[in-house]
Amino acid sequence: MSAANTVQNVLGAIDLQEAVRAAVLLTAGLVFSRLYVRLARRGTLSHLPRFLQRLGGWLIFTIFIASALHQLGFKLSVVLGAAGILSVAVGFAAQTSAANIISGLFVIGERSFIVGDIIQAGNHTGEVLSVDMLSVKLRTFDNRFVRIPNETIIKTDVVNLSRFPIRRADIKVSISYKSNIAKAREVLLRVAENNPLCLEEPRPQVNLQGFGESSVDIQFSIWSARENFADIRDAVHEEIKVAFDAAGIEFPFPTRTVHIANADFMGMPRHELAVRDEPSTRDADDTKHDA
Amino acid sequence: METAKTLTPNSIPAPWNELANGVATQAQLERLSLSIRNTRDECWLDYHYDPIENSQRISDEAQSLRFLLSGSSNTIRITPQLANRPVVARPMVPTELLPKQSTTLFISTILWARVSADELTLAELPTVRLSDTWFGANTRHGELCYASQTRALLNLDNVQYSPFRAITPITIDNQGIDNVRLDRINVPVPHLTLYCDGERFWTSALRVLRETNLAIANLHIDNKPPSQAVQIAPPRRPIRGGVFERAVDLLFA
Repeated sequence: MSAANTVQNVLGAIDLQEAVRAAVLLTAGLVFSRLYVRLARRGTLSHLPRFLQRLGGWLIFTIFIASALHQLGFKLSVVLGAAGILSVAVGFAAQTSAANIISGLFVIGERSFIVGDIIQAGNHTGEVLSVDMLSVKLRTFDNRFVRIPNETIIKTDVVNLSRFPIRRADIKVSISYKSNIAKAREVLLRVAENNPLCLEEPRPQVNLQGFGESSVDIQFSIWSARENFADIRDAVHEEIKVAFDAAGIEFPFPTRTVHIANADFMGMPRHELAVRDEPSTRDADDTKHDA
Repeated sequence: METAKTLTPNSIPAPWNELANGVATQAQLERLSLSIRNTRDECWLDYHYDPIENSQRISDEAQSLRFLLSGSSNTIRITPQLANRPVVARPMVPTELLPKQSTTLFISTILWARVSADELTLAELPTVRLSDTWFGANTRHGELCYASQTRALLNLDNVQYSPFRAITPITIDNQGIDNVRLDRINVPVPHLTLYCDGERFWTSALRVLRETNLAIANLHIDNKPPSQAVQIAPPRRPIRGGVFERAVDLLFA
């Protein structure tokens, strides 16, 4: 039997009334699915990514197609069985894509970030341009376009830098052992007080972090509005330098103290020498050699 | 409700009266120094803030703004406004209001200068650059405000006169069973109307009723102008009915 005959037989078997019903169902499906997508974009689902908004429309249209086929006398069980086998085959062939789609559902459901947020994922930091079926698209601050598969997003640590309205900047400050810690603390707090972008509450904090090889290490923590974070971090570093210079607080540089054990070594008296780790310092080089 | 009288040049004190008429081209408004160069097609606004004593700030540089205007000569006016964010007033001495007690505090907040050409707003600048601050129960829930230190005086006669500050009378009625700590008071300035009685600037009065339900306070904004006062600026974010509820920790801390 030729293909033309088959088509003729099938068409012959379709009742005109059933065909009209099927056509009406298809048209209604198309109208309803478009209407749904339009409402989803304007209504309560407007925050969802586009592909999720469209997904509902596709589902509605698929249901109407199935009904239309049923009207035309097609056995849906056969179609569904074939679709099942096809989906298994496609599933094996597109494992990665399927994993990304499923991960995408979790990414969206979790709402860890939305379009417009600034996130840090893996080695990339940038603004979220879109959360799509397969991937999340970012624009980095150096204006590169980065596509991160949803599966990677699920597996990696994601830091949302714009979730909360205020942020804390931790600034590492080191002062020399000769400098007065209390005075440094006072100067740092005054720097925060004088900068209007630095929040008064939560209060700025000065915490002693420990004693380094050549420096007393301090962490200066200040809070700012999220949008001022980069500006304040830049400005406060400069203001600390100016304020420390004005207050006579020294920034340290690496130093080594060498104790000469043998008092009569090469006829030199016993003494202590402070040696700076600077290759250009002639005295330091000579002392090391002597030692 | 008593309606506010209309704004006339004599309604507001110097230097605002000349600025509001578009006569003056230079002004010193508290710490804000500004000058206007207005030609036929453009308007230049130069301003800077006088440095605070002992400040190590290095970013108080002079700023210039240029606005292009179509054809006709425009009158540039500078009028007072209230701040665009709530102001958190910190009484100099921590204060507590005892249960079943009521009191009225007078808190003054810094005014802003609104530069406008006819009906168009060119810029809004604070007369003093206030520090930002956060007011809320934690770092996730709250709002960004301006910080201001106040003496939160009980007697109006003791409130120092300044043409660059507006006084807000806040009546607090504590019907709760414990003290209300007034270490910091959040004044919702953007919801208030600015008035002037010819000498002092006022805002709408606030009444805060703290019910026995400890977490919520009723905030009532009195839209009646003070006696002999005219309305200078409407609220930036008006509230219908002038009454709203707020968590106590978003009003006092």
